[in-house]
Amino acid sequence: MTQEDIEALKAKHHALLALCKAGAKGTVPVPPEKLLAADDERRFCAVCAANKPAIADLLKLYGLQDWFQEHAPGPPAQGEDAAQEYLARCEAIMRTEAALVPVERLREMARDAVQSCAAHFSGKLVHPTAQGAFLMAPCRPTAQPHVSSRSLRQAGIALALDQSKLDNTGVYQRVVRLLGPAIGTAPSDGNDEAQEPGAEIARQHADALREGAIEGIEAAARRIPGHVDRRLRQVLLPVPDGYLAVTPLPAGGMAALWHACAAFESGREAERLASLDDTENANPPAPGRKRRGKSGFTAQNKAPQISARPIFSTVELPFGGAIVRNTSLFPASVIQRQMVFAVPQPSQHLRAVWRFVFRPWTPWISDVKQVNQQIAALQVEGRAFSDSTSVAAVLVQSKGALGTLARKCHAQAVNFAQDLAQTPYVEDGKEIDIDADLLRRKRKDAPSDLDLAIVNRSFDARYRAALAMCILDQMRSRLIRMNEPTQIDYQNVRDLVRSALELALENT
Amino acid sequence: MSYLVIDLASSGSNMLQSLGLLTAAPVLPAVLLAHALDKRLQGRRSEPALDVRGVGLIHRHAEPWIEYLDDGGYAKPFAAQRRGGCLFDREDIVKNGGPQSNAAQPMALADLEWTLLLDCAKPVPDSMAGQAADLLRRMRLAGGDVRAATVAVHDEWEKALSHALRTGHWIDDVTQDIQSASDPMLSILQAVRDPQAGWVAPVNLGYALLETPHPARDGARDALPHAFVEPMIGAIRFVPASIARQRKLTPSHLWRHGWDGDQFLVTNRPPVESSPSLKGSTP
Repeated sequence: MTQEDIEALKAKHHALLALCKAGAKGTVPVPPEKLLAADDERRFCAVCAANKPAIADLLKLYGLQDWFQEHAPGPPAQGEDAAQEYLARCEAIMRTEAALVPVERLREMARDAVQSCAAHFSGKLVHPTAQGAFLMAPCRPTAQPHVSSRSLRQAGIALALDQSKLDNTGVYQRVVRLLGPAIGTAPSDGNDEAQEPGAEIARQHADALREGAIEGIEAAARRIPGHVDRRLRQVLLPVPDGYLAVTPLPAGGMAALWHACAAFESGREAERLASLDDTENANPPAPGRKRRGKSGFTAQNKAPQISARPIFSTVELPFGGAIVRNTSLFPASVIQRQMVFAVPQPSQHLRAVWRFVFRPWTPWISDVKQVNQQIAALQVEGRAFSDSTSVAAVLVQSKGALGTLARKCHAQAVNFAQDLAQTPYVEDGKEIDIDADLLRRKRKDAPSDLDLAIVNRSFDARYRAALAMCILDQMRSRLIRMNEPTQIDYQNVRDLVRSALELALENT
Repeated sequence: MSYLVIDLASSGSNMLQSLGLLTAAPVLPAVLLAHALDKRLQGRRSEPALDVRGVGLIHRHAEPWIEYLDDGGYAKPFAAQRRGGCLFDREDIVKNGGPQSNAAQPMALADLEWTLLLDCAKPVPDSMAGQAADLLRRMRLAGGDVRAATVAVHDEWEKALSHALRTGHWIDDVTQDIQSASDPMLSILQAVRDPQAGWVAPVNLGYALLETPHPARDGARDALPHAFVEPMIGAIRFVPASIARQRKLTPSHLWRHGWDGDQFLVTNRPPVESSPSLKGSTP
């Protein structure tokens, strides 16, 4: 069929196309390349139907894709009712054909798929190309209270299965989806028909799939990795006769449980806030008194807004590679989103001030490259500057980036001196002022002129000379670290820049 | 008997505790760092140089590397990573086409400042402090470079403790206290949000073997026996130094490592006894 024919069929069967969207949210349309491959209208409609998740699951589980293309019913008439009736017919003939599939074949298929793909712990999450590191959770008990697959098992919490590799036939994914990701760890007793996993297919088929899956899990648990991939970390744990190298493996099921617990806590918090809101509504303010806030916006006319906003902060960390579905059964929102737990952080202000008691103060130097360029440009423009410390040269130098840098450093020094004057130092439980005596007592080396100027808050000529030298030293070390060529090491250039800095500071 | 107070600053340490959890508190690596330091100081001698019996952990500062990248007009937080290639030796990198050929490893980074208080059974001469500091500067804490290390030797526990606890937060293992048998995960998350529980955070406090150790697995580090393991997530509490100083801490409150069957643990819970050796490792 040509592109025009396809477009005509799309227009004719737009209701069918709208009903046949795949994906978790039901928003993924039929791939255009599959539509283009259709020979006629009947196959076009069959391709659409095969994209519907319920039918796609049956097709892949029973391996009936080719059969369905040949035996799909004739195309429906236009309209949504006709499209729905067509999909129902497709599903009915699928079920009739599926019922003919031998139970033993299904069982073998499930066993093989689960045996080759099932894993609780997978090295592929660490690195998508890591090979051979796929293990099932052990069945040993634990006496330790930590969160591990063992303690979860003891608490009756099932760890969901993940995949060791992408099953391109789609059988493993369908088996897990039909039976639930906790196959084998939380078997159903079969009494509750409505809750029974796999209720979408015939009962004996679901039983066969489950039996096959459990056999596959048992076989997968006996799998012993032959090598450890170089992309995976190895930690040495001490044992009496040396070390044991171990490779920690992540479990997608564990991350899913953490996120589920966090969502549960968020929900509880939302409920608590809602109950607080209800209490507020139950006790309206006394008549005649206005509530604070925007006019007309009161608790009475405000609709309750209950939303389970996440209460644990998360950051993105790309576990599982660029396309998560290739490495894990769990979505990227579970695998690649990590909860961040805060740790105490000291006040940076106090920290800097107390550090000063033991270490010299240095300004933070920025825009070093621009300053270096200014110095270099002046050297190129007139050799006279390099051989002179004339007033004119110094004045020129003290403008631009160099002048800005000097003013910024001076502002830092003044701010720091103010912080210093307001912050006491704690010694033997007593608060004492930070002064020159304390510095002399606490420091190994005598405090510099710059430190004394800051602690005494006397920004005079000695301070300017000391700050200029300090800026020069800082600038030089930054330029060396940045591998930037500089002329700052030449004594005459150095003198010129120092004079310019002092002049800029004097004019501040 | 001597006590070492080690002030450490590391850059780019891993704060990834397990898939889904980031906490800038590498408790297990810090305890094992003390063990590694002992081994390095021992060198070729038959007896350990320090014979570390316990490690006190004092958290001072942590600065996670979080960068905000544009995501449809919103700034989305991303954990900064290190490329996996730099973790392998040069030959390995060259053979596989350079570090760029390796995708980024999931390893969330943070800068840390911690103090370790080591209880050493052996008397430690003052001269060893400089040697230990030099060694530490060439070591790593949770994969991060140790940028600065200072070591002080004390003969008395009280002096060592007051030196180590001058600021910061003492770290305690509170897994047992907050844990409930019904849902171990939920009880940790609830403790994190409970103001009565103090400042609690989940961290990795051990490894449980997923299999019997393989005596000669291909690719194992230094041809050692190898096993795949899963993290054991516990909970720690940050106790402010001012409160910790009033608690009359003793060397029995220090962190130690050991095996409980086939589970490797670090803990400072006083009643917990662990064996130095691995037992019953058949899952």
